[in-house]
Amino acid sequence: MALPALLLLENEEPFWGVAAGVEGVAQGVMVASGFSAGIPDLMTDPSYTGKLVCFTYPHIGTSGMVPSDLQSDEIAVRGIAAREIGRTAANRLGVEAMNAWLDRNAVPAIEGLDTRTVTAVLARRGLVRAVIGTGQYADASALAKKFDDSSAWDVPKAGTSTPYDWTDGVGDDSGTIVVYDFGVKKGLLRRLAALGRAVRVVPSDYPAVETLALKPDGVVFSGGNGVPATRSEAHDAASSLLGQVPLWGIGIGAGVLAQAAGAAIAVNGRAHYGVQPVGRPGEPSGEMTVQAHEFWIEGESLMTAGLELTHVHLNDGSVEGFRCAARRLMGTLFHPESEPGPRDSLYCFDRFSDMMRN
Amino acid sequence: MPKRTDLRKIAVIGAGPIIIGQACEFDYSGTQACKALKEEGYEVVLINSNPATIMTDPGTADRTYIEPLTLEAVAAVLRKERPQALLPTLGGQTALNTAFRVADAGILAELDIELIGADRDVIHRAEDRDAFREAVRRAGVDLPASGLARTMDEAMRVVEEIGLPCIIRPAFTLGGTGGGMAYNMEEFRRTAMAGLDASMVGEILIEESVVGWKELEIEMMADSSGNGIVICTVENLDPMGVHTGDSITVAPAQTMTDAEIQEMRDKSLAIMRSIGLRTSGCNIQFAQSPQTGRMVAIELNPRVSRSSALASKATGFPIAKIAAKVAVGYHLTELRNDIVPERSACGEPAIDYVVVKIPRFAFEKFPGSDETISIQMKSVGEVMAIGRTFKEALQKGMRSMENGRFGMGGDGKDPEPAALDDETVRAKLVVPNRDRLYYLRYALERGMTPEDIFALTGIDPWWTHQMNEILDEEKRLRGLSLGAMTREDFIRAKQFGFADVQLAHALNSTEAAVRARRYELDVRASYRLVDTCAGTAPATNPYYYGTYGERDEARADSGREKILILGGGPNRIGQGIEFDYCCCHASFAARDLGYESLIINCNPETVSTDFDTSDRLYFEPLTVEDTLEVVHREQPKGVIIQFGGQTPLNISRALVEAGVPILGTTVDSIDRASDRGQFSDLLRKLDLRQTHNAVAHTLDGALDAARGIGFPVLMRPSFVLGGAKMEIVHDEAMLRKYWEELIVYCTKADVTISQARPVLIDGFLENATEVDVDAIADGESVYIAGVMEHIEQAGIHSGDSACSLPPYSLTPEVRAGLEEATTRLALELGVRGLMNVQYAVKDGLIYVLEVNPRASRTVPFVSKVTGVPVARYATMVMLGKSLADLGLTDKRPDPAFYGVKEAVFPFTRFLLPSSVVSESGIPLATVDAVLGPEMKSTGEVMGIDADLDLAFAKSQLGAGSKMPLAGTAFISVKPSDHDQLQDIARTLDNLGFKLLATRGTAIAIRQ
Repeated sequence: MALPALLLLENEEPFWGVAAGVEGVAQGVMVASGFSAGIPDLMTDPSYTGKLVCFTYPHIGTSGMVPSDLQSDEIAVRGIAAREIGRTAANRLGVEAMNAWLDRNAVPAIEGLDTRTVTAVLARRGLVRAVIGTGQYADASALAKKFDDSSAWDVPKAGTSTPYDWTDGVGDDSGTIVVYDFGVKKGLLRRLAALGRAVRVVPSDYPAVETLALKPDGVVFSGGNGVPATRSEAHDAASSLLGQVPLWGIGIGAGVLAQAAGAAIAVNGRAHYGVQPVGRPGEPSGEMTVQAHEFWIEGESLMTAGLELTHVHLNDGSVEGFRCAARRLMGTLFHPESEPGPRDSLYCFDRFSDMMRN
Repeated sequence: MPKRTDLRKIAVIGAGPIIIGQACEFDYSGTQACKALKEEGYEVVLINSNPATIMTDPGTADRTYIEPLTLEAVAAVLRKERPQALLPTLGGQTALNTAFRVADAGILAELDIELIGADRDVIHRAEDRDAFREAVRRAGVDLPASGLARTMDEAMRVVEEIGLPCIIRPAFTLGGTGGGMAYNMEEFRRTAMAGLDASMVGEILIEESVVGWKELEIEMMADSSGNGIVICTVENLDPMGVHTGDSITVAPAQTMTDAEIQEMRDKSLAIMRSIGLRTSGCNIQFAQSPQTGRMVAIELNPRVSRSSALASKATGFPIAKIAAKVAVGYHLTELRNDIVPERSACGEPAIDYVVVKIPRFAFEKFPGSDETISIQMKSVGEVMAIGRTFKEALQKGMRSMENGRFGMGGDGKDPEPAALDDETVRAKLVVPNRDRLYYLRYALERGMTPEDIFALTGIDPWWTHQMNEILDEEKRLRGLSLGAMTREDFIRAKQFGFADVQLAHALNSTEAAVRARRYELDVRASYRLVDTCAGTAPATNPYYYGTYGERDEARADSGREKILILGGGPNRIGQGIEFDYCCCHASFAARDLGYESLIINCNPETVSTDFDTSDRLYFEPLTVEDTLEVVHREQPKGVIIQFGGQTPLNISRALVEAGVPILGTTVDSIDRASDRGQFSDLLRKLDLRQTHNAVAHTLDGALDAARGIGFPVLMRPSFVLGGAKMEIVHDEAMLRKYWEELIVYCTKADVTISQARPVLIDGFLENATEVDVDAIADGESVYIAGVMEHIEQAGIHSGDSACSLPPYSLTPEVRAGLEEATTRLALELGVRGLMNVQYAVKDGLIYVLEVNPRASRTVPFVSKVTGVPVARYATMVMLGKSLADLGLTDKRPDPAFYGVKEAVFPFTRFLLPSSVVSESGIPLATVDAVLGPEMKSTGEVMGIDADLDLAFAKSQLGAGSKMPLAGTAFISVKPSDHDQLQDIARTLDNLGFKLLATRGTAIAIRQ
C-alpha cells in the first residue's frame, strides 16, 4: 500500500497525499507549473534550483525521461507535488519512468494531491515557502518546524564554478560567445552554438577583463535562479562589459544587466513561471514565451537607464524585454530557447547574431 | 489592426441540416459568431435552412433567411442584402463549400463582397488534395510518401521508395474498384496489377500507409498579423484508420514529449502560414509513426470544426467568438480572455484536468449495416467527459453514453468470461468497432498486456495501462464489502471514476445501498472550474465539472432562486438539436424571470454547453447519480426534465423518488401518457378514439392479437423508446419474421420479452393523414401552438415525415376536433408546460396515436413558423406564469405562408466496405433506405413560402434532394394503391415527364 505524504505551505492547512519518488523531505519556495509535457526537461532547468514545483496538469511525466531533453546533468527541483506521476515511459524515446527517475535521483514527491487548490493558494500569495515530507517523514509537527529554521532555506546559486567549453554542435569556430552561467540550460547552449561560434561557459562572477581577453563576438548572461540582488557577484562584470561587447541577458541575466544599466528592479508580486504571452510594443504580434523569473523591471526606470522597451507581458503589462542599440545590449526576461515550451521566440537568436555582426 | 470599419454588414452562412459529421456544433459556433459580430456593431445577415437552431432565432442575427444553402438561394440573399463581407468559416463544411461555389460563380466579385475568415484561395489550398500537399511541402512539413505508376516496373520502383504497407489507389475508378492495402510484396504485386488493370487511364497512386500510426490533432487560432496560438492538442486513443469523428479522443495530448509537441506546433504554424490562413480558427491533423516518430500532416480544416467545438468546451476558450473577431480584423493581442479578465486572448490555454470524447453510434437503427468503423464517419453524436485524471474522465464518459452501461464495464452488463474466447476478443480488437473500449477491458482481463494490445491495434500502451489501473482498483473493491468501505475507500474509488452502479456490482450490493452509505460517509462530488488557466488566475465563468476528494469551487449563492435544466445528452437519431434548442430557451427564460439558470449536459456539440447560455454549466453525465450530486450542491427550486428529450425522462422517476422537485407536468402524468393501459383508460374516459390494440409476449399471442385487430398492425416492443423495432406488419408471415428479428434485437440489447415487457400491437390505419399538435398548458387552459399536417401518410415516424404548418388539407371541423382533443388531453393530464399529440385522421375521424407531455422535436419548427417562442413560454408556465400572463389566451391566426419541415437521412453512410461493390462499381447498399415507423433521419430543414408547393420545393432543396424538372418517371405500386395513382400519374404527365411503369401499374394508369 502506498505511503502517506504531506505538503505544508507556510501558514496554510496541510495537504495530504501519497508518497512518490524517494522517501524523504524537501523544502523550498513552491511554484506552480502548467506544463503537461516536458516535465523532466523542466525539472533539470537550473532556473528551478532549490524550488518545489506543483504541477497543475494531473498526469505528470507520462512520456518518461528522455535523456536528450534534459537541460542539465542534475535535477534542479528539490521536490514535486502532482496529481499523478508516471509509472511507465509511454513515449518511444522515454528510457525511464518518471517515478523511477525521481527515486533514483533522490527527489521526494507527493501525488494524489489536490493540486488545483495548492495552485490557487500560490496564485493568491505568490511565492510561498513549502515543505514536502513523504513516507516516514510525513509528520506535520516535525515538518512545520522547518519554517522556523531560516538558515535551511538558503538556496545555492545555480551555475558552474569553473569555466568550460560547450562542445555539442559547435559550428566553425569563427568566433566566440562567452556565457555567464547563472544556471544555463543545455538548450540555450545548443542554440548559441548553432549561431556558428565557439561557446565558452564561465562562472557568474567571472572577471570582465578575462572575458574581454577572449575577444568574444558576444556575451550572454544566461538564465538561472535568484534575483539581481542575490546575484550581486555578477554586478562588476556586468557594469564593465556594458558597451564593450554585444550583450544579451536572459531571465535573471537580463535582470542583472538591466540593473547594471541603471534600471530599477522590484521583487514583489510578479513572479512569472511557465508559458507566458508576450507582445512587442507597436507590433500586433504576440508570442508564447517560456519564463522563470521572480523579479520585474520598473517600466518608468527603463527610460532613465537609456533602455528601449522591446517586450511587454500581455497579461500584466510588465517589462519582458529591452534593448539599447548604442551599447549593443538586449535583454529578454523570458527564455527564447524554451525547452520545454513554445519556440516562438527563437528569432531572438537572430537578433543577437545581428548585433554581434554589426 | 483593430476592428475593420470599412465593413458594415456581414453575411454569415449556417451549416444547414444535421447530418453525420456535421452536427449541432455549428449552431454553437454560428450563434457565438453572430453574437460576437453584433456586439461589434455590425449588421448581421444569416442564411441557414435548419430551423432547429438557436442561431436562426429572432435576435441572434439582424435578419435571418431560412433558405436552402444552394448557390441560387444564397446568391439571391446576397443580391438583396448587399453585405460588404461573407463569413463562411463558422458553418462547417457546408458553409465553406457554399461560399466557395458562390465565389467561383463570380457572384462575390459582381456584388463586391469580400470573403472574410478564409478567402477563396485559402479554401482551395486547404480543400484541394494537390494544392494542400503543395502548401504543406512548401512549409517544409512531411506528408505520407506517394508516387504514381503506369507500369509494374514503375510500381516496383515506387514501392521500393515508399515501403510497405502501402495503399494502392487506381486513378479514375468508381467505388475504389481494384484498390486496396498491401502488407507484403506478393499482395503488392497482385493489387498493383489489378489496380493498373482497373484504372481507366492505366495509372495507380501508391501511397504510404499510416494506418496504425498515432493520430494527433492541434486546434489553432490565427489573426491577420500572423499570430497563431494553440488552443488545444488532442491525441486519439484510436490510431489512424478510424475517422477522428469516430475515435475516442483525449485532450491534451498525453504520450508526447515536449519536443514532439513543439514540433507539431511549429509545423502547424508553418502550414497555417503556407496555406495563407489568417483570421480564423483551424484544425490540423497529424499522424506519427510509433516506431520512428516521423510526423506527417494529414489534413487541415480552414474553419471552425467539430474538433474546435470540442476544444472550445474542453478548454473554456471561446473559439468561435474569437474566430469571428479576428475575421473582422482584430488581432489576438487586442482581445481579452472572456473567462479570465486579467488575461489576454493571445495566450494558450492550460488545463488541469483530462477531457475524453467518445462517439455515439446508432447502428441498431440500421439493421444490416456494416458495424465496423473506419475512415468514413458513422457516429451520430458524441459525449465529452471531464475528470481530474484520464481514468476518471474515461469512466465518466462511458457512463454518459446512455447505452445502459455505467463505465468501463464492471457494471453487471459484461458478458460472462466463459462466453468469450481469445479469438473473438482479438477479432474485436483488430477491427475497430463500437464496442472496442469494452473489449479492451475483456482483453486485459484475459491477461493480454498493453504491449500485446498495442501490437494488435496500435493503441498506445499508456491508455491500456491506465485501464489496467481501473481494473486493479475494481479488483480491490471486489475484496471489500459495503459495510467495510471507509470514506477514503469511497473517495479513492470515485477518483477512479467508478459510478455507484459499478460499486454496487463490485461490492455485491445495490445502487441505492451504495449511495446511502456514501451519503452517510459524506462522500459527495466537488465541483471545479474550467477556466483556461489551470487555476493560476481568478476566472469569472461558472463552468464546472465534478470530481471527488478535492475542494469545491462552485461559487457562493447569488441569493436568487435556481432552476436546473437537464440537457439531452449525446445526439442520437430521434434525439438531437431540437431538444437542445428547448433547453437553451428554458435557460434564457428562467434567467429573464430572475432565476439563476443551471444546465447539466455532456454533449460538447451543443449551444446549451456554451458557457454563457446558463448562469452555471455543469459538464456532467446525465445519470441519476451525477444529477443528484448537482442537485445536492445547488439545491435548486426545481428541475426541468421535459426539454431534454428521452434522456431526463429516463431518470425522472428516480429523481422524484430521491425527493428532487420536478417543475411542470408531473412524472406520474408523463407515465400515464406512456403507459399502455393507463393511456387507453385515459382515452376512454375522454371518449377519444384509438385504434384497436393489444399486447403480447409470445409469438402465438401476437398472432392471435393481430388477427383480432386485423392486419395491417403496427408492432413495437414496450420497453424501447424512440421507435426502435417499430414496424408495420401486413400478414402472418411478416409477423413471424418480425418476431424472429425482435428476438435477435432483444438478445443484442440484453432484454427479454415478458409479461412485464410485452410487445405492443396496434391496428394500423392505411392511407390516413397524420397530424402533430404542439401545445402549452398551464393546468387551467391550453394554448395550441401548432397543428402540423404530415405530407407522408400515417405510418412514417413523425421525425422522418415532412409536414406543413399550417395544415393544407384538413377541414375546419377536423381542425376544431384536433384542437379540442388536445385541450382535453392536456387538462386531464394536468400538463404544465409542453405537450405533443400525434393523431391520425381517416374519413374525417380522429384517432389519437400518441401523447407526449414534454417538448417534442417540432417545437423549434413551430416557433420559427408561428413566431411564438414556444419553449420559452412553456418554461415560464412551469415557473408559475399563467397563459393569460403571457398573453396566450386567444388562438392565433394561421401564418400567411407555409412552413414545410423535411427530414434528412444518413443512408449513404451505412454501406458495406468499399471493396464490396457490384459489377458496375457501385457500392452495394445493405441498408434499406425505406421509411417506416422507426425514425432514421439525423436532421431537418425548413422551406418557407407563401405557396405550399414552393415551400415544399425549398425544403427539398435544403435537404439536398435533387428535384428533376423533366425526364422519365418510373412507377410501380401494388394493386391496392392503384386508385391513388391516377392523380400522380396525370400530374407527372402534365409536367411533361415520360412515364414508365411495371405491367400492372401501367394497365391501371392507362385506365
